[in-house]
Amino acid sequence: MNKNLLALTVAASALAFSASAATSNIVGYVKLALKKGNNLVANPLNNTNTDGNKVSSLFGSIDCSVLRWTGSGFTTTDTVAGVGVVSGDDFTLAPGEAVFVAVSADASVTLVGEALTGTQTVAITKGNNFVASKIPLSGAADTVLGLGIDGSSVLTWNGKGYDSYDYVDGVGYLTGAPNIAVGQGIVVSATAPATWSKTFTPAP
Amino acid sequence: MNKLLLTTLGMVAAVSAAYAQGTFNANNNFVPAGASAKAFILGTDGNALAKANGRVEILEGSTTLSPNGSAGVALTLDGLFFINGLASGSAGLGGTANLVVRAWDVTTGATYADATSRGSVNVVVSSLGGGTTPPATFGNNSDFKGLKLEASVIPEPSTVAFAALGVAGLFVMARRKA
Repeated sequence: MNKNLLALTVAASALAFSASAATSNIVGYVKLALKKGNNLVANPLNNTNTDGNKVSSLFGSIDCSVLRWTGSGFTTTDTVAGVGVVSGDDFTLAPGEAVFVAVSADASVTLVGEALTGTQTVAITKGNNFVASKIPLSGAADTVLGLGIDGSSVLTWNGKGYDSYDYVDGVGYLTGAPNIAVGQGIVVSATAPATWSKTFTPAP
Repeated sequence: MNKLLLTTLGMVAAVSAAYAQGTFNANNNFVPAGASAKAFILGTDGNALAKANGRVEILEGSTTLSPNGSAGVALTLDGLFFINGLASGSAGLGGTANLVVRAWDVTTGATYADATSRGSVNVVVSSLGGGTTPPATFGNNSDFKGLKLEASVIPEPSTVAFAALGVAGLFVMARRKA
């Protein structure tokens, strides 16, 4: 295992990797455990296969409803195990976007793809943004994931509702920074447009 | 003054109720607790109702919430419906909606009222969504367990005519005795 993989594996315990010695791409998989009810999740890996990041590829193996935020409400895409998408838009869920996945019984999916590296940005608009880290790292929102936008709140889903973490420049998160897992989605409620930027450079 | 205040408050409450928009998604793509099969819409033969024949309508009181009014929504797969983006007219975020799910075999009638193969069930959906809170689902937030259609017996016209004649005869006999 080279240094790049070791660094990411340590940082993201939920992530398992394999790599080709001929390229610098970091290919891996993430198992998303979904609990009965609503789960705020994201696709932490970029699947470069045709339609690899579409809902049908990511969640088509289970019965679920994928709820995508529109800015004022949710659209729904339904999947049936063994059939695929049966209702709604089979949209592309790229790294950086979060969705709710509703399941009526515990389930899991395994997502496969490349870990994004370099400087990755997520655009934050005024209002509510359903987002996630584009880089598959887990840890504190500020120190590990580089997320701290003045005047914003980070909302994490606890299965029933949201836990809120307010951020102030120069102070940080008022009640301590939330820890974000690989594949976990969050809501960033911002008072002005901003950019969430995080750089990850694998060691050569 | 008090009357005016009460009237105003009543109107505000009425307007609030009219705009309550607790959201939910209605699909039966789940296995109810304790069951071994999904919460299918079953035909009168006990098998999942064929996709081409099934229609579903969801009402709250006398108001149809699902698209297409009394014509209903076609099944997406055999025995399964997916009707999303519904909003209660009486309950808001976190509230509870009392619904009626109607289903029928469209080959026996274009609407629930006309169909002779049909069924309905009361359904309570709680924890309605709204804003950034995801919509409630039948699978996680309702008591829906599936629905089996029943064949309703509609008398032949000739049977109705004979019955009417019989009643008329009894009436005439009663008059004569009197």
